[in-house]
Amino acid sequence: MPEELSPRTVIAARMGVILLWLATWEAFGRQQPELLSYPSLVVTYLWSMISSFELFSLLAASARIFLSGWVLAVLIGVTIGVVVGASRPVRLMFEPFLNALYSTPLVALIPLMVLWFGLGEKAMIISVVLNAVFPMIIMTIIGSRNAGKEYREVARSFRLGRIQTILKVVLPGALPYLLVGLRLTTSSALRGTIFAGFLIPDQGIGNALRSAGDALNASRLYGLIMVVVICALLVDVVLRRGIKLIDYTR
Amino acid sequence: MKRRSLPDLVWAVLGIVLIVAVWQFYGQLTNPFLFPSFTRVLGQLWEYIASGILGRAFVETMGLLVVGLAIGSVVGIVVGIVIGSNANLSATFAPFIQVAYSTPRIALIPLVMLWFGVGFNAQVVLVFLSCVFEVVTATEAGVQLVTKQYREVARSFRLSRLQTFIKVILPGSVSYIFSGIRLGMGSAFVGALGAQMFMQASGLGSVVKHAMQSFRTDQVMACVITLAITAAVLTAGMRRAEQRIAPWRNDSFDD
Repeated sequence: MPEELSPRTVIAARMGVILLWLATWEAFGRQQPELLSYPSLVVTYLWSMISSFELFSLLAASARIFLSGWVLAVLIGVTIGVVVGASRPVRLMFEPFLNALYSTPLVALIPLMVLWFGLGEKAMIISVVLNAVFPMIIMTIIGSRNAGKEYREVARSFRLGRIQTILKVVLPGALPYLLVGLRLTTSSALRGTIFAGFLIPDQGIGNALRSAGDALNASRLYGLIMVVVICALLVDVVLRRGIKLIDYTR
Repeated sequence: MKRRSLPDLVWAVLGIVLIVAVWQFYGQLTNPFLFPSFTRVLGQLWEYIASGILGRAFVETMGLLVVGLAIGSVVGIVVGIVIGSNANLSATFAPFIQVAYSTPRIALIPLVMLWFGVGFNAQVVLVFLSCVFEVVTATEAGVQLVTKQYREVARSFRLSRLQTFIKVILPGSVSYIFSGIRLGMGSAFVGALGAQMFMQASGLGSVVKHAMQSFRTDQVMACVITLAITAAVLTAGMRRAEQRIAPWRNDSFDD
């Protein structure tokens, strides 16, 4: 076993990797700027996007769609999951169907949403919901089934009603599964937002990415990809923090 | 005490019948161009099959998926093992892999097009990117966990590093690797569809897109049914292979 580095050295190593990557990109990018661009140019370009508020409006449009879709997916997912998970016949009837949809790449439904709701925000939000809701449903079903086993007797002896049992016993017991569902739902919602933006010309990042690619504008494209990466990272960090706050099992 | 109840399969069939009945009923009430009935979608599906469109598209999509997923799995396993067996590498690269993992890889389509064009190879690159980090993350986690659990045992059997790796760590992490590939398959499928929709038109992706452009809801639905069946079969196949290769680990926890 090699000796373990100190945390400080590890951070230095990470910085080293980033610097090496930036230096290589800068060196090669200056040779072929129209294909590779280079970091200093990308940063300058990003700065101009920030100071003209263009980036802000792009982010606002995408964030609105992502957040509405995400909130709806979580609420609908947990509700359907609880309803389906609560009774054995209902679960047996609908779980195979829901499982099949869970593993289906539902980006294929985005075209249908375009046909139903037109090329607009409504179609995008519903697309995000459809892409993100199934992990939440499936994990809630699995979770409420596993939580039910041990505590349902207790709940009965405390004479809790159905709704109270769900709120006070089933959902808290299912929490670890709900949190897994939450993570999967979040990444699917992000993916859905970008995918829908490719298909539906909106004011957000997805469409901007696509048109930057079509225009062969390398600096803009790299800048926007960096923005997507930073946003995804930010969402991930916020989610982890949030999960840490509510997860009492840790 | 178990209540006496109908067998599981009967309920499942009942569920399908109910869904199809509601779909059919609703489809006949409303405008068939907006919401086609089940039989209409089935008819379209049959038309797709009979004309050979679906078969060709299916083969193209599967080819792309299999090639991309295979490359992604091999690279992902190797990288995952290397990073997972060295604590320093793992600590250094963990944040980068985390970033790549949480970024929606579909956003890289314009980048891949800029670098590699729109052909099959470029599409493979996208599918590869869509699944490789899933495999890396799962493999790394598996190797680390198994190492932690069995290090003492391996040492007391006086196994060399190579022996420990081949006899302990590799078999121990197989099930983790498989979960990674299964997770990667889902995202590779999305990547493949995205590639076929937005890069060079081919496969099921282009069939769906064409259906949208010609305002054919029945065609879109026929495609979605095809995809759902394909995905269900693939997932079931993966689970079965998983149980074959690592029968000692029996869980269905998708993390």
